[in-house]
Amino acid sequence: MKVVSKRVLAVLVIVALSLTIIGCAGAEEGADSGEKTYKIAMVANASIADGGWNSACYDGMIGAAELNGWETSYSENVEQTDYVATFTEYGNLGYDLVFAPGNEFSDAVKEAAASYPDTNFIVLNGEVVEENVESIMADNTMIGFLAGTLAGLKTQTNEVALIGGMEITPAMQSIDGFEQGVAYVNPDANVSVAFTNSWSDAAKGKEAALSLIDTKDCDVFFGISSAGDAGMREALADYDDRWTIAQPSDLLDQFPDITLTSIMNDNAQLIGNSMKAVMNGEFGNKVFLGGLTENVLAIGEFGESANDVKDEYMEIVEGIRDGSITFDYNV
Amino acid sequence: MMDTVFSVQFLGSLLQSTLRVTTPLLLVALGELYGERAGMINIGLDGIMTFGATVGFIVGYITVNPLMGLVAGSLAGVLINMIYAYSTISLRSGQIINGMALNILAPALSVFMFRQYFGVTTKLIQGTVLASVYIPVLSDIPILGPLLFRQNPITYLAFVLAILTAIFFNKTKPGLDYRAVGEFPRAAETLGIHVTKMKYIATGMCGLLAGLGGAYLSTCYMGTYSEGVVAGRGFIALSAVIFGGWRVRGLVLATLLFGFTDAVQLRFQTILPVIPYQILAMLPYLATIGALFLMHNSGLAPKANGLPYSREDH
Amino acid sequence: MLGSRFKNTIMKVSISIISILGAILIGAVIIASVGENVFIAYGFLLRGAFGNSRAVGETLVKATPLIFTALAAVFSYRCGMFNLGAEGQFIMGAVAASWISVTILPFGGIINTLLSLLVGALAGGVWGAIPGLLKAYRGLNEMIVSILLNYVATLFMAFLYSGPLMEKNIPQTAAVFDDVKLTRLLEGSRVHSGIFIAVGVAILVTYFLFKTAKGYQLRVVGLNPIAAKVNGLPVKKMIASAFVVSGMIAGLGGATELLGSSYRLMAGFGQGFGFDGVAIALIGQLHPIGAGLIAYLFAVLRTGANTMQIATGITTAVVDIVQAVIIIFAVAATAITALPGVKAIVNRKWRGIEQ
Repeated sequence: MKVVSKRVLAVLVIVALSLTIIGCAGAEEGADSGEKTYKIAMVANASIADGGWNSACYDGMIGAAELNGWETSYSENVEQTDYVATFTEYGNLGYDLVFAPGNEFSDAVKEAAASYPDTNFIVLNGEVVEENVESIMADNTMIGFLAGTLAGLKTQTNEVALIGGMEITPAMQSIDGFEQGVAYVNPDANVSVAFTNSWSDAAKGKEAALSLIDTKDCDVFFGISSAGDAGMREALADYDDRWTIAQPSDLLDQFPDITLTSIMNDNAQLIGNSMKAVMNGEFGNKVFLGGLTENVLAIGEFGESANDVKDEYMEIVEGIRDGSITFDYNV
Repeated sequence: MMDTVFSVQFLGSLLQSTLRVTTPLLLVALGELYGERAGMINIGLDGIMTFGATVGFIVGYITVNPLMGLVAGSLAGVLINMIYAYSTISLRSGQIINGMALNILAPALSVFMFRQYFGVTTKLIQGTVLASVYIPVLSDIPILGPLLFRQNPITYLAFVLAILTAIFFNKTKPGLDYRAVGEFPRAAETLGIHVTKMKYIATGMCGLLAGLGGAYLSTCYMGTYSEGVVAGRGFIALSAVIFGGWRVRGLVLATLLFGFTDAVQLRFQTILPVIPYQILAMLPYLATIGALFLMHNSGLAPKANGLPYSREDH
Repeated sequence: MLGSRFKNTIMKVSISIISILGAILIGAVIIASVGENVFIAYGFLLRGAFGNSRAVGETLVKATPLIFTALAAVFSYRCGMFNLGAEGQFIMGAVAASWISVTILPFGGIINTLLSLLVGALAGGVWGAIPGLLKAYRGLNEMIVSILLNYVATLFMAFLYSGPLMEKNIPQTAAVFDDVKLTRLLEGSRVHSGIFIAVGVAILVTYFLFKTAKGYQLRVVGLNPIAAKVNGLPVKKMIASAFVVSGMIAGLGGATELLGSSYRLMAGFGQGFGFDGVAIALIGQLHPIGAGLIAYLFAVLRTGANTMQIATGITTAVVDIVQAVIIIFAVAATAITALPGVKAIVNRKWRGIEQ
């Protein structure tokens, strides 16, 4: 019996000692070395490997950092209650730029930016602007419009579909653009929308696609549901006459049979812009909307299934680029 | 709209979809039934499924053989559930809390493992999928053909297992002995049944089937893996067991009801776009509560369900 | 001569401490196995939770909702009811508070704050009443019903913030007015008066459970419902009311979180607090004060984990693993001391100390 309590005591002492040492060791950290390396961090409220939104943002940050010689860091699965804490922590650690990939971070960024004037913040899809805050966004309505026109041109059944994850602002903007795009080229075509109510449930994306096929005979699909898009593509792969328009990167190589083309969203360009602004001391008080002309959006390679509509579609793309074709920003 | 709803094709695909959604739920619910029939409530099903899905996907990816993935996923389920087993059976700690611990531990371990193997990848990794069985001629019969003769092998396995489980618990001596462990463990002990051993076997079965259900998601249903692929299915399976009154027949109906209402709500989203999807997505949960309310067959729970057992004390 | 209650308390506290330390050691092994320096990693963890007033405040902000959901769990468990629906009740409380505060009430200020908190608590109570009533009068399994209602509440909230209560075109509700927000306590930190509400509720729950006749009856129902019934206690009524009060505590927590920290509803609000609360309550030995302390510990780990990940790049999954191991160790250690053999040893040992 004595032995037991002695052992417990010994463990307690060891742990207490090590905690003390740990505390000291931690305190020594934090002081930085001489030369200036710029640092950027991304804060995600889901996994950065979600195969969709956050992946695309993370890739963009890494790409931009490599190009501009920055160091990167990230925080993922950050809960809503911890947004402010996470942003301020990066401010505390002296980061030059903090990347918030979504409008939902706006409040937290505003609060953190006020306490850390030396740290700059970019909010993707946001509206906030301050001395040290810029909002940047890919033109989601244009993304939707680009996908919608191709879908409208290609559809044989006059039924096209969009699969969303949840009703967030970029999704609603894309849907709005998609509907306008379809109507622009093919007023007879009908748009159906289904939500998977998840960003991670790939299986639900498959079921949603199959249900759109069964109920409406939809034949061209545009997916903006992150992991759900993977399920959607698996559903379409079983058919010869159903296609998808991929986003946000070029997926033709991976799914050559069903991909018409990809609407590529170059987040690296978007973030790289802000990095340059930080380095030149021009950062702040701006909203930057990136579309085709800003090289933030681009059309990927075409699959063979798009051969019949490719030329007509590229004319429309050029029309959007030179401003002869316009659409409305309703959302 | 009415034409769409009543067309043969619509009905057929609705039932197809129901079966696909039901399969993992049924497997996992059967696993939980094996557990609870021996008095072991495990609310960590979501965690076990996640672990099974992850291990199943990784092994399936390495071996390029989804069957190996399924086997590995099932075994991984057994393995992780042994933590729960040791803590609840041998140490006699609370079952609910150990289940919750699994729900935190297993997904965290999964993320850890997946990233150790694949690194922090931002592209979805594509694995091989176990193809559906396709029986010629028979599968061309309208509605019934695709429904009965064009399914994933694991779907057949799930329903066959359900039938075997029903026979086991109701018609065989070992099955009755097994149930005695969940009803009157002390009496079972006096009849020469090794209660502790049976409880370990039960927990093993639970882990096996929950792991299989998880692996089904990442090797049969889908060829990709994403963190969070299980998406609460474990809790639905758990409720199916209780909803089904701890009987195989009830449990099959409960999982089918959930699969059916989920397939219906996805179709309603396109047929009735005026209703917000959040309201439609409530349908499977509300239908389950509603059905529970109407049936209200309580009192069928194994009497020693959730209680720790030891030979020595009283 | 020391009382057995004192002995029990010492046992319980030391078990908790030992299991926490054990889990931290396991975490150290994991961190070392990925090739990181354990001391630096844990150093950042501690700094993130205690390093300065901002960090200390942040930990308290994080602890506040956890204390509420843990108390909700304690209250229902003491009556023998597994309320796994605190998340839904928390969300419904916040939903109601947001709706009342922003849309309905024509004035701001402290009255608005108090009314919003009250309505939040009531909404949580109503949401908790559903599984309570179904359990008491219809025999439906309360765990299942309350879990299913979590999904419904989350979807209902999503419906509101992307529909009727949406702010402009952004799927979130409008923020509560500045003069309605709970006051912040420290300059440069987000800690708000909600922590006092949480502690106040913890004291109230402790008083009710252990110092009042009703509280005693509730615990009797929890320990032995059949004996309680035989002795003429209105078991069904008590079960239903325990659920309502449990829901009210969670709902008040949701309203407090809304008015003190997040100010508006949006995707992800309240996620995970319910199950965390249950785990915390069980590790806290179902005692309100114990649960409060464990909630604080969880908050320390999580706030610290954030900093640790930022500074060292170690994934927060490691901290999740540590948390799960704490849970397993804590319950296993408690259970071990209750095993007949160990019990006998401890008792003998204890007598040795007393003599």
